[in-house]
Amino acid sequence: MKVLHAADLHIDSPLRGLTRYEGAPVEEMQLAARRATENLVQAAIDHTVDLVVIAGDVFDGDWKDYGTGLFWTRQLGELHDHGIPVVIVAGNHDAASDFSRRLTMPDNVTQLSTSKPEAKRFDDLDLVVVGQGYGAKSMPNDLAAGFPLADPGLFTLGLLHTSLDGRPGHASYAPTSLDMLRGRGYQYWALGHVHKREVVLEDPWVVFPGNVQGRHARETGSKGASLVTVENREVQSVEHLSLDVARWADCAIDCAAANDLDSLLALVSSRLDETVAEADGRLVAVRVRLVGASPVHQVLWANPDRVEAEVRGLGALQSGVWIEKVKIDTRRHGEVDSELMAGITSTAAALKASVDELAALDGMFTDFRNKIPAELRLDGGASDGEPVLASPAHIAASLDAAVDLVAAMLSGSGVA
Amino acid sequence: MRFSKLHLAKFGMFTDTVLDVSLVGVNVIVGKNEAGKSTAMDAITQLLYGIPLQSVHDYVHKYPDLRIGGALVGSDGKSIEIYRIKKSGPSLRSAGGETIGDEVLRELLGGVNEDVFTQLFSISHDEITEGGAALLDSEGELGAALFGAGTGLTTLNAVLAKLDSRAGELFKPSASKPLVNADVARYKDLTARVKETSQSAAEVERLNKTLRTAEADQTAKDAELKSVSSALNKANRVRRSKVLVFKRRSATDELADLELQGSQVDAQIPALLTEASDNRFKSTTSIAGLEADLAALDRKLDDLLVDELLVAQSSSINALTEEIGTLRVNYKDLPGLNKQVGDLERALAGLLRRLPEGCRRDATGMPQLTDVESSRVQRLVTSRGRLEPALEAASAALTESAQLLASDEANLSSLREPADVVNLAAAVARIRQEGQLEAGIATLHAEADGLVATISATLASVGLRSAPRDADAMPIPDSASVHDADSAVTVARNDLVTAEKELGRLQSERAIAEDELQSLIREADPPSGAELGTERSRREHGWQLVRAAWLDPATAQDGVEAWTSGEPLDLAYEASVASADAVADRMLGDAQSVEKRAFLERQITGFAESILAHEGIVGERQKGLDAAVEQWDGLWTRLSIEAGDRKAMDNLLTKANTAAAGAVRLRGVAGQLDAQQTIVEASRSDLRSLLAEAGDTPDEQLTLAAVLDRAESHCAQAGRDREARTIAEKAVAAASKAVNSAALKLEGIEKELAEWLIEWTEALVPLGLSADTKASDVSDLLHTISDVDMKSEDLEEKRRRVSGIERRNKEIVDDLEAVEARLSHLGLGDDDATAIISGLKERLDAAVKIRTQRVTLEKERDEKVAAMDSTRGTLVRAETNIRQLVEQSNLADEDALRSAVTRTERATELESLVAQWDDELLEAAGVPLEQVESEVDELFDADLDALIDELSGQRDALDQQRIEITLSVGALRNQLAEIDESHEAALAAEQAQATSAELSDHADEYIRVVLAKQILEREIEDYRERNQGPILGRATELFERLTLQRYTGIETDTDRKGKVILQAKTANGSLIEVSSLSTGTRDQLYLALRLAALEHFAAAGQSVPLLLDDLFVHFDDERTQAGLRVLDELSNTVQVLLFTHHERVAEQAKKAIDAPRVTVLQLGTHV
Repeated sequence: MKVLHAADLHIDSPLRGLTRYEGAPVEEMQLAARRATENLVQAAIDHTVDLVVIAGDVFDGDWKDYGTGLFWTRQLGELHDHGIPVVIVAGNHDAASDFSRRLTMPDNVTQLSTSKPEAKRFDDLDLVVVGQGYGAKSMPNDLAAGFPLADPGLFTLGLLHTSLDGRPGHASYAPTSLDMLRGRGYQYWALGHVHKREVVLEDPWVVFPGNVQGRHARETGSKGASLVTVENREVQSVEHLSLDVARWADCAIDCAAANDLDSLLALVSSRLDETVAEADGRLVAVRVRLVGASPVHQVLWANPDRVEAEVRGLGALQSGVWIEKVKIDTRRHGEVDSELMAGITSTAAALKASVDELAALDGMFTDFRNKIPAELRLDGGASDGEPVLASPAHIAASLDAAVDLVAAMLSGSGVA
Repeated sequence: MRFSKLHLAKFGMFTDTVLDVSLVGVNVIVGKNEAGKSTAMDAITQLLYGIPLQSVHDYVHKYPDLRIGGALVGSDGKSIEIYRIKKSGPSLRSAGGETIGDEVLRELLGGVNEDVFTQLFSISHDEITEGGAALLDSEGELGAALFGAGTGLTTLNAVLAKLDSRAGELFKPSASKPLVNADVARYKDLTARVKETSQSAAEVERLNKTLRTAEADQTAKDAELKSVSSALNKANRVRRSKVLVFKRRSATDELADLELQGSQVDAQIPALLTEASDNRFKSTTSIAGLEADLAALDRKLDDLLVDELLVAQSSSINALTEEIGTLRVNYKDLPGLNKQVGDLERALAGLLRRLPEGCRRDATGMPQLTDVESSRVQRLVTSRGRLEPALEAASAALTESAQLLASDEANLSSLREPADVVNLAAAVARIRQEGQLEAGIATLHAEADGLVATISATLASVGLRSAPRDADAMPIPDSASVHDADSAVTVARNDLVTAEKELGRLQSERAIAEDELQSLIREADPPSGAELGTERSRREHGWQLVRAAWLDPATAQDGVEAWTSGEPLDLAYEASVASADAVADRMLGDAQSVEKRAFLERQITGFAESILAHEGIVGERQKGLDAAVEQWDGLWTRLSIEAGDRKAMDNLLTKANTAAAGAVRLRGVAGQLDAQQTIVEASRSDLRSLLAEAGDTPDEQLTLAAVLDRAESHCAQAGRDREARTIAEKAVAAASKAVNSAALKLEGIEKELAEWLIEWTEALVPLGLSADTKASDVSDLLHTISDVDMKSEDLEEKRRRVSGIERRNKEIVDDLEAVEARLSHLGLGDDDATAIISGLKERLDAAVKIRTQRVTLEKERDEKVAAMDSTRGTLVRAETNIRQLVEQSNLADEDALRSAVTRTERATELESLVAQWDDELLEAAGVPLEQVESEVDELFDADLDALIDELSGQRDALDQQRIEITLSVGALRNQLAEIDESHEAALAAEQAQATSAELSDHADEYIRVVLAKQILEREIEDYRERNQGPILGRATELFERLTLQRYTGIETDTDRKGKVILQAKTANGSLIEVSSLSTGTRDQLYLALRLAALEHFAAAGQSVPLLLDDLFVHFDDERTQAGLRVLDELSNTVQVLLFTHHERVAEQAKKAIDAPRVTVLQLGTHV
């Protein structure tokens, strides 16, 4: 018996942080989550699975478009046409989605209750799926605690959207403990909510399959679902299937060895080659971070636009590469600073150290801050795990970069 | 740190070039164009900081061979020699090639990195110009000016402006175009689009519900409409069918009546009866008409009779008629013809009389001349006309040629014979080829004289004595020996000076120590312990008195008076305390002074030892110096010259070398002169003897050039004579040829004429003429004979025509008589033949016309008879048919048949109408007849128009309602149909995310740019605060000197914006803002600030050599000198290396700065 375990489809949730530019593979990257979902359905068909279980967050919360729901029902229809049953529990995002409750599902689909644990038996498979969905966006209770004990005559699969004991980066959703899960006596816990793939435990199996498609720069690496093979009511194997259509990669390039822009670009190019090879033919959204103490530090800062354009140009030479961002994080190289640079650095340091100075600087950006819609300010920072856009923290954090910029501009005129 | 030597071992164009920059002062390094000034400056930078990966200085020496070296002296006086090679790893080497660590050099550089070196310790004239412009741009703002000068940054304003401009490009509070503003606007548009294109589930449900209600409404309305439409249709049907229904009923009633009136016939009978009746009537009428026509035709035929005899002669009559017409025409010509015959006969007789007697004639007397004969005569006449003028022309040409020949022969004989100058010309050519011998000699003389003068002057200028031709034989030392000896002197002198300085320092410090010791000795002796005890006892006693006064005032007075000596007790006690303290202090102080004296005494002893040692060193170094000086002097005594300093001796060496080169050249010139002179004499002698051979003996005194000119003149004259003679000979030959040709032509023509005469004589025989007859007469006779022939032929033809006319007339008269005999019955009478023939023709035409009419009438009669027969048959058949129809219908007679036929036709008509109405009814009503009839009966009494109006109104209203419902249903269905898997909203959301990402980048950059500007502005202000005091003061001094005291200082002021600005103070005390200064003064202001900042920087311990690149290229001589003096002063702090393309700068330096403090080096001469 084969069960395909997926979670966190987040259909039609847009990819974040991708600046459009000439040569970016915009069309190839569009609607990646939909296409990854199609891959999921195709994988179920190709692997002739007996059951598909989905551990929540099919949809993306406050997303309002009914077309998304219709797309999903058509995908379920495909599985129906191939005789594959599907069991779904609602996740926190599904609870927030006003159409997920209104969709008419094909009869191969079982949507488990949100008010109490519900079991769905598949006698022909000697299998029972036990689960409970979210009725509201937040779920502070340990839902697993209410799950019945395993049926000793059947393979029991627990289906739950949970942050477990609080995975890093995830708020507390239906928190529970491994002991609680063990105590239910199930053979396999199909979990969802945590976007990073993780086999938490093998006895019993407690698995987060991760989301099917990375959505921003922090969701790097292969994404997909877990193919669970069961024989004699025991898990034989859990295999990760890559289903993503586009991949995110974070390429930190140490520029210490680069003596000039050309040699730096050669390093970038070679790293891009490796990244593309790793992506196994998929599109890759690459964040290029130039780091390290480098002789080209000032060249980079003197021409950040050119560097970005050159790196994007390299990306354009590879098919299916989208340079998400070029971040210059290099440091000055070796030599003792000139009096000028020392002065500038200490001026910046003094600004950074003074609460009053920072407040005065912050005041200079009031108009600017007011101009930007609040959600954009939050989004601009949050997608990178960086400070909120134009916040005092952001301004303080930008001082070092400002020093580099000044140094490079003065150097561009032959100084510093 | 400073250089004492630079060694461009292998770098750029340089190979082993050494620059000695050991002396303190200004080093002026002159490199004219392409001499490698820039390369030398690069070499210094790269010696200190390494040769870059990509170097452009490898065009002579390849990368692995590049090598730059120098001797560097640190601030502590220590010297080190290093070399730099091109290598990615450690690239410093010692003179011996061992690797040296970078730290050695780094220590010497004292923290001055490459950026600081190239920016701060390098100044070019371009920087001065840019610096002046930057002062103007910043409106003399002090912070920017100091910062710019202190960092060498002339583009500070541009950097600030660029930051400002970029910030403006990124964001403005109220604008739409800046990038962030545009991003925000686009983001808002896109999120609005997401909302527009999103399809909410609640909306889908609402739509579904509304659609279902609308569909139910639509069904109800359809039923209602159907019912009203049905009633309306019925009313309309009845209105359309009512009349037809009634007409149909009337017709069926009449048909029933006809059935009762009698029998009817078969359907085909009426038509057959009508046809037979018509035939009978038409036949009867036709027969009567035909009978009348036949009677009329018979009457016409009886009236038409024809003369058949006359008609039989028609062909003869027609022929006669035609012939008599022609004959009448010819008769008219006959009298004319007869007259022409007479005229011709007379003319012919006249012509014949004009023929010569001997002219050959035929039997009729006509001239007998054949065409051949005639042509021959004519040809000969023509020949004669050609031959006579030709003879005349040939004769004239002969005469003219003979005259010309005679003239040319006379001319030739008058010319003189040309002289033979072959040898002379060859000699001239050869000598000319050897060039301007004499001019060359003059030039060589001048050059030799010049060389003698130059060499003499050169030698004299440095006190050397030698014959100019032997100037290269002087014992001049080579430059290496001079350099070594001079370096030895310099080193020895420096060593001596250093030792003397140290000695002086020691002596001066010993003197200070001795002075201090003496002053200590001079001080008073220290107090003793007893003195201290006394003072302290007194203080103690005073205290007891004070204490007693406080505890027991009554008894306290005892002893007070004695102790205080009349002073108040408190004051006396204070004085006793102070006195005791003073003694104690003096004792303590003296202890220190004793210690100090001991220290000073030790120090003085130490100084004495050091001084002794240094006096020894000074002595040794003096000896070393003396030896070096002696060696130096020894170099020059050989030349009987007193040794001067290095510069003077270098000058002497240069001069001596110049003189030596001159001497070599001078000897070469003298040799050339001798050789040239010999050649000139030989050539003159040759030419004179050749000229003598040619008959010209020139004056002995003539120069070679004059003799040459004379010889050339001879050669030219001989050439001209030869040319004239050749021309004359050619003319005589041509004239002789023309005479021969003319004689031949004349002879030919005369021969032709003789042959012509023989033929002429023969040809004239048939004409009976002699040979001397004039050609024109012969020609006239030929014309006359031709005329006779023509006229004779014309006469013959005219005679033939007259006889033909007469013969035809007779033939016609005979034919007419024969016809008259055959038509005797007509009695034709005796008129002339023409009238008779005309009458006959008229009668014949009338008879033929009658005959034609008769034939036409007979044919018509035959046709009428045939028509009569046919009509009679038709009549019989019609009557038979009618009888048969009566019988067939079983009726009594034709009348009964006709009644039955009438009834039958009416019934048929009615039945047809009924059928037609049935069709119309079906079409109008669209329902079966019975239903229509029933509906008509049903609505018989109704007011149909009113009913229809009412129902139509109801139906239209329902229709409108139904359309509205249908549209609404359609719209709802469309809306629902559009709700599908579409991803428009998702795409818009992705675009919004992309925009968000762009905005994030732009916002980052905006914050960075604004902060960068803030930091830079603060740093500028901080820099001003830190450095304003020290730099501005020094800059004032420099500015005054650079402007030749036209300005006496730099002041500061605050402008209207509150910024601190610079002002220049003039000699008369007025203040001038930067914007009002001339460009040159602004440049000098910048230079003053720049040098002051540099000094300030160097004074802090970071001093490396200063590279100046043609700094004074835009300065006049006076200001250049002022600048050079400033540099001289600066050279005490920083080593000054002034590179220039211009020799002028070196000259100005020598004028402005005293000799030992200026070193001029020539790039390209130190190889």
